[in-house]
Amino acid sequence: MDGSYSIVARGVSKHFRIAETGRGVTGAVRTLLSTKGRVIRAVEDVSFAIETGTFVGYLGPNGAGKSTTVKMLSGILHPTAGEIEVLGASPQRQRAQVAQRIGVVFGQRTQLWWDLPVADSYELIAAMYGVPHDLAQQRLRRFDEVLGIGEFLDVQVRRLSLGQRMRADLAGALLHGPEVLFLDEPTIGLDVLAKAAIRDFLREVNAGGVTVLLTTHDMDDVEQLCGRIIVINHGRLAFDGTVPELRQRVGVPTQMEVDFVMPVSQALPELNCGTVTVQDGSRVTVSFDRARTSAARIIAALGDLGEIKDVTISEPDIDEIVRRMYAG
Amino acid sequence: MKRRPADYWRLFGFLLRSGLRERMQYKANFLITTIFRVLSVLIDFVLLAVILARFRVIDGWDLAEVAVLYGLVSVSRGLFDLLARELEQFEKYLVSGDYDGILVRPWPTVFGLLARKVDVTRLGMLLQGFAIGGSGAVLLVRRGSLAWPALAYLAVLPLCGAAILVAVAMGTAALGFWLVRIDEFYVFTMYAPMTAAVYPISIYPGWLRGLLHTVVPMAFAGYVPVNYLLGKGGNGWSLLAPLPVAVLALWLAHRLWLWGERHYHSTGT
Repeated sequence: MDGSYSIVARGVSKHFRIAETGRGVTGAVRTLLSTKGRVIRAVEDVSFAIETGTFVGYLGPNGAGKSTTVKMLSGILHPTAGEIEVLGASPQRQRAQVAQRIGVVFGQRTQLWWDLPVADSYELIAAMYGVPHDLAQQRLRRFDEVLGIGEFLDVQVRRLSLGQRMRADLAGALLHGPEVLFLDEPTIGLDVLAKAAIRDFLREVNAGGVTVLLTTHDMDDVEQLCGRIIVINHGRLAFDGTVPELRQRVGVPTQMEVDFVMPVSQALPELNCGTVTVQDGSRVTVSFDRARTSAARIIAALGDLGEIKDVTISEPDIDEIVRRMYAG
Repeated sequence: MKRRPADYWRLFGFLLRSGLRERMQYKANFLITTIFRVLSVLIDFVLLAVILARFRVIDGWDLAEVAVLYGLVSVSRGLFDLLARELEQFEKYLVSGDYDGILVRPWPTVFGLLARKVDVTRLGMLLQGFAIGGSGAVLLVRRGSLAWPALAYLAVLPLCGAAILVAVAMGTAALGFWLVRIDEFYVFTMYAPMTAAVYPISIYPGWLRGLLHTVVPMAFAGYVPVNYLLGKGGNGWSLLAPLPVAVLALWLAHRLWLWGERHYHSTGT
């Protein structure tokens, strides 16, 4: 076992057998006795190793198996096949031991006590994880500086806004100083300010040495935070690498818009090297692959069409990249 | 990290105080809820008393004696409702996926579930149970049917009764890992037996008596030991039986729980 890997998955699969569950006692008895049912392969033979201190984005379309994987890593589900090691231990066989050293945040559900003030939840968490009072206070002060949780410490969790609740949950998950943090869509439904605050906080947490695995649909999360991304689709691993590597692999073209002073009347030049040209009045749009030709050469070729007023170049949106990845 | 039982109790204590503080904030609601709870228990008992007034005795048990049974079941139930009610509410954790949040904590999942809510308003039922059961017991002592030391035994017996209820609820809840929809099961495993255990079990047909001594051993929460204390039957073992029955029931229920946890499906995304 290599100590430099915080999370290791080897050939992990999760299959669900779905049967028709009837209501009431007779329905339940029927369910218990039936052996029929179809098998859903939510996760199939997934393997990866995440080094300590990395910030990994775990992407995939809905139903791809993201949540199922994270649930197996955090000990919620038992894999049908394969081995999982988190911080050197099995989240299934040593659930409590692993739980002591990890933090989990679910974007759509809170783990705090619904009817109690936020501070009470923190007190309970600190007591149960064995965090000394002074250390807990010190951490909470820091959380207040970065996340601003102080403003709602005495408010009941059920009365918090989504943004406040998310911040409260984050603080709650980190109060015991976990070494690994699992985040399931933490910025979902939040406004721009709240997202920025949470990203800043996560960046700081990761800089402090915490390994972070983030499940998200928000590509800004990915671009701003993740040094590595893993893409899962239909239960299988589709990609494992960096953002630039993903760009290169999927090959979504760069887009250039050239605005001319006068509408272009001449025929468009044939640009080889895999480019496409489209004309729209006085604007010509060119899609090209940076690896195969340069912007300068394209502009030079278009210069014959007339006087160029303006040029805009846009890099492919990671949304687009991932969309193609999912569709493929 | 090593946790001692005292740690868990201290946390329950914190939850109790915290919950009480929170409840008190809504004074009108707290007052009304408490009044209604008191009334419902009283009405419950009055109905019982009416039946007994009509029939004088039920299989040789009169009102004071039945009151003792009633009190024992009430206090057991009050303790259960106070601390372990979430076991009975388990279906909603399964349906919503909130059970995930309990699995990622470093403490035993049953405790994690129970600690989600400590229902302070159930203290009322506890006190009422003591009042009704206590009144009946004192009457019996005055009459000479019970010896004074029996009161001490009766005061702690509900701990076994509550433990049996916890075991039954845990076993029923564990079925939820496979079936998810289990709310209706509690009627058979808990509500019916609790109601039945208020009356002397000798009045029931053989199969029901058997169930109440085995699968849902509520007979040991009141009838079995009290039957012996009142000199109506049984032997010395009747007094000792509730504890091992409760322990065995808890152990079995917990094994089922742990087995079911491996089968936990969680929800979708």
